[in-house]
Amino acid sequence: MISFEVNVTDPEGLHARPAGIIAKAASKYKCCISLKVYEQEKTVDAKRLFKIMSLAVKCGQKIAFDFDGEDEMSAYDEFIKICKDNALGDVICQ
Amino acid sequence: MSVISGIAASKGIAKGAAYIYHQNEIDITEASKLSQESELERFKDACDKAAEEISRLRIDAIEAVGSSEAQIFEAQEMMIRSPDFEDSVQEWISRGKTAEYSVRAGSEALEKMLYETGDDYLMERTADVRDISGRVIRALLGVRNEDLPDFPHILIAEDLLPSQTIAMDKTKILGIATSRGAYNSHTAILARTLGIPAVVGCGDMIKVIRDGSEIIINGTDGTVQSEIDETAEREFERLKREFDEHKNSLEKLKDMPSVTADGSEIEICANIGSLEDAQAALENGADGVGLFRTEFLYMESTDFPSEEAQFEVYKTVLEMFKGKRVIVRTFDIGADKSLPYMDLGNEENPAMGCRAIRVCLNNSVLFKTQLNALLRASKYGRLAIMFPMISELKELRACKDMIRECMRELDDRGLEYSRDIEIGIMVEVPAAAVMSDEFAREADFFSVGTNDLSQFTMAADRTNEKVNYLCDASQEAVLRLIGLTAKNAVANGILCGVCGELAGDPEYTEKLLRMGVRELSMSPFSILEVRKKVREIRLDQ
Repeated sequence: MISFEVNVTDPEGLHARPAGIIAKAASKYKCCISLKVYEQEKTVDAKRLFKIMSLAVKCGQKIAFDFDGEDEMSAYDEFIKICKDNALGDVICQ
Repeated sequence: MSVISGIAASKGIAKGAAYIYHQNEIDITEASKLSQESELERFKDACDKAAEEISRLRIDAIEAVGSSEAQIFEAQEMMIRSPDFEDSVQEWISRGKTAEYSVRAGSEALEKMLYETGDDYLMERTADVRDISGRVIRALLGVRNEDLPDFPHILIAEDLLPSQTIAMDKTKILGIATSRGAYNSHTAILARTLGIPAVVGCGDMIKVIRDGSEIIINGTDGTVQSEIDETAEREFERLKREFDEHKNSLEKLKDMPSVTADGSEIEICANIGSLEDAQAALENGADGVGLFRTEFLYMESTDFPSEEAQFEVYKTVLEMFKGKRVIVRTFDIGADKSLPYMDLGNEENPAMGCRAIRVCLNNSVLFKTQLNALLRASKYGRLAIMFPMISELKELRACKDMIRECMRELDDRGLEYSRDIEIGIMVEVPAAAVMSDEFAREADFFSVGTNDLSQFTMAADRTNEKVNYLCDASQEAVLRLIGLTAKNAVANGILCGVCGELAGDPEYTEKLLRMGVRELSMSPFSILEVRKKVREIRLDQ
């Protein structure tokens, strides 16, 4: 399993548009991708748009993506790229 | 004879067959007689159909109104394809319910989940969930809601949403009557754009109209007549003739110059707030755009609109007006017109709070994105930039500095822009009117915003029904401030315009012109009436 964290700096947080991009990208992979929000102590399946939206992640919160499964490396790379391209926040790789 | 009255939303009169547009009255059976596998298959087929429809709507929206409305459909496409939508529906199917019942119950659960976040933006998305579930249910039951009949008809509905009207074939609609809605709701604006009569907000009385029965709709006085006798028929013929004659006489003025009887040239321009309005302005012979409200770019979007997206819209409008001046007002957003993705906090008194230029000067990234987009678009037409809510000279100077900074940045990026852009201010704060002699030396033009100027001059909130009788631009105090502003503009050789409701009222045209106002900007639908008036006025007498 691999993971990375993001300090969300996007002023709109993880609202519909970024949530949609994440869910759409996640659905392409076989591995389990989960999204954790530290403040709410909640973890959801990143393939599920409504679940991500209902976290209502706000600017300033810290989240983590976990990847677990056969294609985890490529999913990890794509997600880092997504976070950077869409200016979601500062990516922290372990 | 039965007469229903509502709000006169779009002028004109029409007679024709009523077509009742059903929105939510679909009967749904709860218990399924089919196997769970078959229900699931029905659900998946219906989802495919609905997703195809949404995708078509998205493409239509891009072509018709630009990318902002398209984003609604983009979000809906993602929702319908999301596995949690499928899961929550499947849960009900596995309990032996029909697919349509399960879609309704499943989406209610999702709506609840979004609603409970307490987040304004997410709470609004519940409307999208309802929109997609309605679409899937209609696909399941074979109810083709969006299709209107192919014969001429008067459309009767509860209210119409953008997602419904965008797909409609509007060529056969003779008129629209709705039970809900207000003068500025989507339906009313659409009807005015199409130039068809409309009466909105009729209430439950509208239910007496039978589908297919012949009715008369009068959008001038706001009535709908459902049982037509001979007298009503004769009256209809008379009013129709009268309206057509009036319309034809105005129609002839479309390509005529806006010149007074003694030869003074006046600019009669349009207030626009969307690409649809821009089209309506051209169709009504506008001499240009006197007020381009840019808020819609921000309000209809799910995120701050990018420089590129804004550039495309400004370029389109400038090209549409082929060298006629387009005055773009930088965005007027604040606690009263807040954005779901921008937290401005709550204010006790938002109309006098941190809004418009006050937000812009505090948020230079946001402001520069708009200015860069405007500057880049400037080489496609005749652009003028106007700043809202200016109350002291320092603000105008700061805005001009910001424009110069943007120009330098564009030079660095190697992007072109026009060097002759007029920069003006909206005179809507009494302080700016009082100090207009000083402002006139530094601004290229003034445009008096009569709506805000009256509420601030009279100290009466225009949204407060108890005091808004005072918010009247024809109050002598307001008129004197407009007069002072115009006098100082003339003395310094700059243009003084008026936008806001007073500009579109032919009763005040002469008064404003005599003050020295030379540009009037109004709803596209008032242009021809005002041009008629202008051509009768002699200023030398």
